Amino acid sequence: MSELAALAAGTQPRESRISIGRLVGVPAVIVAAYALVGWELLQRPLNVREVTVLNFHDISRAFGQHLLLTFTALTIALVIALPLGVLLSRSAGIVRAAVFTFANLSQAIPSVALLGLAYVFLGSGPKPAIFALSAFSVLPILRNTVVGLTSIDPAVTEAARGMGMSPLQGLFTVELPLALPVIFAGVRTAVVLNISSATLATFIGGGGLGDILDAGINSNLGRVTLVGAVLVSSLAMFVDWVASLIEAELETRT
Amino acid sequence: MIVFDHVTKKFGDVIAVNDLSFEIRDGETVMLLGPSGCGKTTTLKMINRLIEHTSGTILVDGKDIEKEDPVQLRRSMGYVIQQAGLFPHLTVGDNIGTVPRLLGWKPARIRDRIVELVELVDLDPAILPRLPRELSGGQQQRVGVARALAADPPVMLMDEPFGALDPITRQRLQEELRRLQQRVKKTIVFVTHDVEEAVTLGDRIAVLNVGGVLEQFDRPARILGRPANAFVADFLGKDRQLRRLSLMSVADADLLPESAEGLPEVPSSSNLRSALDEMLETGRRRLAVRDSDGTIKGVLTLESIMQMSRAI
Repeated sequence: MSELAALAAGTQPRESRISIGRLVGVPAVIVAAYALVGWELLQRPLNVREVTVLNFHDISRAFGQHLLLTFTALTIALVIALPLGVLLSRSAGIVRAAVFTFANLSQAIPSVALLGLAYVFLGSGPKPAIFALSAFSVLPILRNTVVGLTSIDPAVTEAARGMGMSPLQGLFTVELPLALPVIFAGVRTAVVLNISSATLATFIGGGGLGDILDAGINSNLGRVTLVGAVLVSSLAMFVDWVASLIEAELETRT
Repeated sequence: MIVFDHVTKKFGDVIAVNDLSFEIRDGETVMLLGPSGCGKTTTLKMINRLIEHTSGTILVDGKDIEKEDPVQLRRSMGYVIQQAGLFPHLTVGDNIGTVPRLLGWKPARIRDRIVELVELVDLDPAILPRLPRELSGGQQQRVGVARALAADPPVMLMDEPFGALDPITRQRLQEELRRLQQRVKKTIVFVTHDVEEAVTLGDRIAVLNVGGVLEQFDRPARILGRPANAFVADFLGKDRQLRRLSLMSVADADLLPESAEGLPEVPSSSNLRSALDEMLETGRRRLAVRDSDGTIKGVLTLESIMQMSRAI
């Protein structure tokens, strides 16, 4: 059915909102960045100091650590933010306002400072890094959960109640599915934020791709810095890209 | 049977429903009619405990609803609201199957029931896999009615279900609801602020005044013919005698066994309002009444219309 015919028939064409540009643009940029790095590395062989960082073992370990930091923190943030968001969406406006004032305020703390605080109280290693990253990613998820749940058409939630759904049935079968695109947008923000902030974990011994960048900068090794920068940026871009596709798909469904 | 016994609802200090007592019989359609702020929607929502009453007793089938589990209570009553309130993320079919799913019916039985309901409310089964937003307002409201009927509840609560529709669609859905009601024989409580709708659909009408005061509760013809007080008369409007005529059939009037030669004709199935309109149209005081089998039943006069309009 053509779009016009569909509109005339009172229906909306339910096609995906994902454009070709969105589908291939980001991967193209990532591939180009890797090509640039490859070309740069092929100019001359790696010297001894570069090889101590730029080897498969160390890079894959740093990459793995980075993912672990990011997604562990994300999981913890989800476990905290989702139930809290559901509770807040049902609480009085004044409680909500108080929580968000506090949350927004804490968001103003620079991530390096928060990492520093985590280091002071929890010592070095990945654990304090994960703590700081979780604390940071709670807010976007919390805010979007509350916004998603409170912006549902009241007629729909009332219908759910009127049909005889228990509060939990209404939450899981009607409210959360309807709020999902908004909640997921918060998750996307949080995870991208986490990937970039996790780069700083290296300063408190948390590992991750920051290790490579830090080694490159400290030892004045341009090519090492380049590899570290491209790895972490492309990871952030890639995850954001995947998340944007999921988000677009969720939006077309609800 | 639904019984309100001295029911009052207060929101803080504001009285929304004031000492309301009335009974709704099984299988009848009762219209809650009144201006905004008269507590008609509050009254409706107290029946399925979406709003809890402050004092008094509401009985459904002899049972005090305060002693029932509200979730179970609501599953035993169909609920239709303005704008349909369909779940936008579920297909039409899944929307209709909501209450049967909650009641734990087997999937095959739910499917059969959905197909049955789609035919009952005169929808094309091809729309079952669609999402609500792909339907017109009228179609959405039909789905809303089908969803409310899904588990075959004895009671249907309808909160201005046709309020947001255009006049033509609204009239068509009203006619269909009437036909549907003849088949399913539900106890219907229907909220409206539209006098025409109340008169067309109601077996009885409860006229409510601001502050939740029940002014009159009676059959449409009696409310139109003998409004209890100035408020009711005023709310029903200047044309209530005409509305009342529309409730009376030509066949029920006294027809004279005279020659119908050369008179304009009306079918015996039409109402007295249309007959009067025909007289005004043709400038004649006498009309020939033709039965559905084609025979002339007699002559309807302006005098007999006026006589009918005075009788209660």
